[in-house]
Amino acid sequence: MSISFDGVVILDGLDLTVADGEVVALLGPSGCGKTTLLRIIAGLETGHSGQVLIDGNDVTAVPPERRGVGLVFQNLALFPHLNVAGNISFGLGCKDEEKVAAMLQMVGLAGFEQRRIETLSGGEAQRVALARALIAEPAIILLDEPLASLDADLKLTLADDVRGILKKSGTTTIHVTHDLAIADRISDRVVELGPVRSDESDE
Amino acid sequence: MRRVWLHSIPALLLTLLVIAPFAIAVVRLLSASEVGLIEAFARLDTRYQTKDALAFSLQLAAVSTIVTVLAGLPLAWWLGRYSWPQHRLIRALLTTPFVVPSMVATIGFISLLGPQSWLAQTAGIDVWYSLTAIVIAHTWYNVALVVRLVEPAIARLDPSLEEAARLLPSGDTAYKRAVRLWWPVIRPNLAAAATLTFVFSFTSFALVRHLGGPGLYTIERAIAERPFAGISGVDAGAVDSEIVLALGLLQLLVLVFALWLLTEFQRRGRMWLPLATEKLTRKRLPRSVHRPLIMGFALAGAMAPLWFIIAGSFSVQGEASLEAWRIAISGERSEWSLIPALTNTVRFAVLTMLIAVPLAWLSAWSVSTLETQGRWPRLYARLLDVLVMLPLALSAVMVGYGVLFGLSHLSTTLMMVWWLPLLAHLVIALPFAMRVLLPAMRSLDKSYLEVARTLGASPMKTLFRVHVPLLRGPLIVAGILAFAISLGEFGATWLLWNTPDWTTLPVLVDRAFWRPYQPLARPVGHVAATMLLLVTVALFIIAERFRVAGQEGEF
Repeated sequence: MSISFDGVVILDGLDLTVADGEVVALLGPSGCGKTTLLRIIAGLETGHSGQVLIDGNDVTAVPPERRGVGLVFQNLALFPHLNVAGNISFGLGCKDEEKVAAMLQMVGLAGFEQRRIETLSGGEAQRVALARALIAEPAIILLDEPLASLDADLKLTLADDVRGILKKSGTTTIHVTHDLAIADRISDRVVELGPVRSDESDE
Repeated sequence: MRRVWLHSIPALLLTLLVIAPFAIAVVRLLSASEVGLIEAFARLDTRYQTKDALAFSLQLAAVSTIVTVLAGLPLAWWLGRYSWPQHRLIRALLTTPFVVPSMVATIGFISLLGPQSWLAQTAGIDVWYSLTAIVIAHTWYNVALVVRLVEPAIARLDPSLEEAARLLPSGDTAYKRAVRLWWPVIRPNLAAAATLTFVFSFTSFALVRHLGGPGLYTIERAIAERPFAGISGVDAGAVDSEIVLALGLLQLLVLVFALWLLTEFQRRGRMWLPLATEKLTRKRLPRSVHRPLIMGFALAGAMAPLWFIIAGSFSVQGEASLEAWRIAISGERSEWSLIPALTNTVRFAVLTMLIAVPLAWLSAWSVSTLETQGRWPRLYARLLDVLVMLPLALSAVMVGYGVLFGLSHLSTTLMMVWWLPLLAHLVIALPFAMRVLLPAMRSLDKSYLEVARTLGASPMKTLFRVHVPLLRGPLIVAGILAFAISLGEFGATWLLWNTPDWTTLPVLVDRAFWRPYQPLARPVGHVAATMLLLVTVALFIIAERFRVAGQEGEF
């Protein structure tokens, strides 16, 4: 797969295969195309060469809402106009209270249904975002710099929790980070993305 | 580049609504006039109403702008700088005039300055039918604009900036700080307010029509009052085509130049300044007599015309009476019943809101989406932005002419359909709705929409469950603005007026004041104006609640 942006090649010749249920970390410096890669897998970015295959099916032309790919943004993008239950059940067709409660239980936030988003701590918000992405049972879940906004000591504890949640749900996961400690803690396998040929990229 | 068709809807509709009618109108006027374009300009000199229209418009706009800035700047400064008792109320009262429909304000000034007013009869101050009267009215209107645009710039500046300036040799006196710190901070917003004041004063119609008397004509008034009695019908030949054409083009030129200046000021003025919440920056009001005195005078001035509008509705031939209200509402004398006009007005306003807001949304969405993409989408986004804003450069009367000559040409039955004025209202309201929605849409974090898509939401579900709820505030403000603009629209509706279906309250007020010999005419006009005034002010108060902090600098 190759990605180029405004004529600058960001990622080139990347071939990544992730096994079912595997948690993979992509490690690389900022500006190396990690986030763009996730956006391509999710279908939010088009105009790249190469293919995205999920369970052997080519989904390159499938719009994001029908790919079955969950994405947790770096800023989490929790909807401020909905409460915790509203956020988590967004991906479900209907309001399934039991399912939401079970999901909150799994991420360790039982009883948080009615909380407003702006009252959540950084760690709680992270878990809600994860729960929202997991509840639709996506084939793959993508995490963009998870935990990046948290305090250093909280990061490592939460990294273990995130790994626990992902493993419990058995979801295939790709997450990108520039933090080796986090990558090691969360994932089964770490793939390092080198900087692209330095003559073409200044970053 | 999916959904190309969706992006092309706004451009297509706008071309049909604005560009095509205007182009057709120009062609028709050209072919109907007996002389060529050059000759038409030369002939402007020969007519009583038109020979001085350009000079008078420029003079009126320039004087109005200067007086407005001189009066508005100290008020904006004192309001931004000091903490006044009842601060929010003072600001609300000072900025209310700006949302009062022009025909309603006109009534207020007739009562305040006219020959039968207290000022003329008792105090002997006679400014009736003079430049002074119109300038007073324009100042009343636009001081609100100066306060609205300049006060936030003063109130929000991080105080540490001024504290730092005090410690430096280049800012150790009040004079130096005024020149080196405050002037650059205020200048962009003040320039924008001054330009808008110029534009509004230049195209002033209702006020000039009633306060200008038989001798004072702005371009807007001169071209509007060409088709005598307003009902000369479809035939462009019945209007003095060459005069409408020549003056219309002159006015367009001046307006385009002014709006170009405005965008330049806003672009250059967009500097990054550290901001603070207003409560932190405001100082205690120093003890002095002149500040409260002048502020009190300004407040009284802002409220006086409004008071006279309402008071006039309770008085018939100098006697306190509820007769005007009774006649207006009961409908027992059909010529003075306000109910049909009220129904028409509300119908136009509701429809304007329901059509202009989705169209502005679609346009704002197209512009904000495409301007971040490749070269051609970006170019299209800029074109679309200009297209939506274009009606700002057309005055209300010119929009009216566009609809009259541009659209009615397609079929004569169009001249009678009840919704024809709606087209003019839409064209006039759209840029304002767009100006509210576009910045909000630009600043909305796109990841909310993207995450909704990855959660399986279709574009429709994303729109109604995420995008619309997140922009609820700006949507409500845009809706109220479109509603209020349609409610108070006068120039275009007056020009088009052809059937009783098109009689809106502002048109009815105008007609009432054109018939001074009927004892009930003016009181009923006051009743109509009072209704409009109360609804507009109520809407303004609601809109203020939904205005996002930091967007006060917009309309």
